[in-house]
Amino acid sequence: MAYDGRMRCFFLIAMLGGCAPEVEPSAACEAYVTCLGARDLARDRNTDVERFVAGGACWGSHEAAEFCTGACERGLDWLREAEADTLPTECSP
Amino acid sequence: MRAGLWLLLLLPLAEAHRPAGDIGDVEITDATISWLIPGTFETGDEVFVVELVMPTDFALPFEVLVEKRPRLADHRPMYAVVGPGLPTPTADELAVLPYPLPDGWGVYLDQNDLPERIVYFEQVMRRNMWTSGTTALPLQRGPNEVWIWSPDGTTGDFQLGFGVEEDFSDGGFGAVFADWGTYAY
Repeated sequence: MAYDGRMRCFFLIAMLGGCAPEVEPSAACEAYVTCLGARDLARDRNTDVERFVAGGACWGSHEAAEFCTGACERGLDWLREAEADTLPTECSP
Repeated sequence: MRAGLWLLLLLPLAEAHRPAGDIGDVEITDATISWLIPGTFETGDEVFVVELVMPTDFALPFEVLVEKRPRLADHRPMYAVVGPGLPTPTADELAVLPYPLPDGWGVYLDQNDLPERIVYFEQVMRRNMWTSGTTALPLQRGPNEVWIWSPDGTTGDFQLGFGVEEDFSDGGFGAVFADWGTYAY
């Protein structure tokens, strides 16, 4: 069977580590990032959330994803309770 | 006793936290990477203070861990992250804090009181830990602090973990091998 260009590319990427685990961002962290973005806008801040978005350190393995997802869930629950009077609607469940 | 640890952050940047030396005798140069800082309550009335100087507004997870051993079953260190931009504490929260809050600062208080403790298998040192549960917190640029204390006066080891991004580019495990007794069974 002859290799076409796409297949050669696939094997090249695999050899270079392109097959390392990559997990999709969880809904919990997407909600957390959305909330912080809206909260920042209201406060004229700019919070670095790089680790929680696609391609960030949270999504390099299933263990990291589980770790971050729990952190996002608890972090968002806490914000909703502690800043209930001021949090933007984007943070609502 | 107020044990201090300065974290001087230069640039913003895991699941395996980078180990540091004992709390109170180590300086961390970048709190935007993942750290695991051990400490020991010798008398139970200590308050450990970790100072975080954030180079930018930065959201990161925090947790307190205790090794899962029968003699530490009741050892549940409490911690508070305090800094500008965090929510104003309730009266109940203020009553629990070991120190007065600096003017204009808010607080995240973790009482580490989940009815069923979360067990986490720490893969680097390969041991089971009880964790308070990880909570992502948005810190503002500039000085912030973490206060850790033992509300019931229990004694024993604990570890403060924070951050996600790993960086072992300069070795990173030197503190483990320099102080093996802290980490080894």
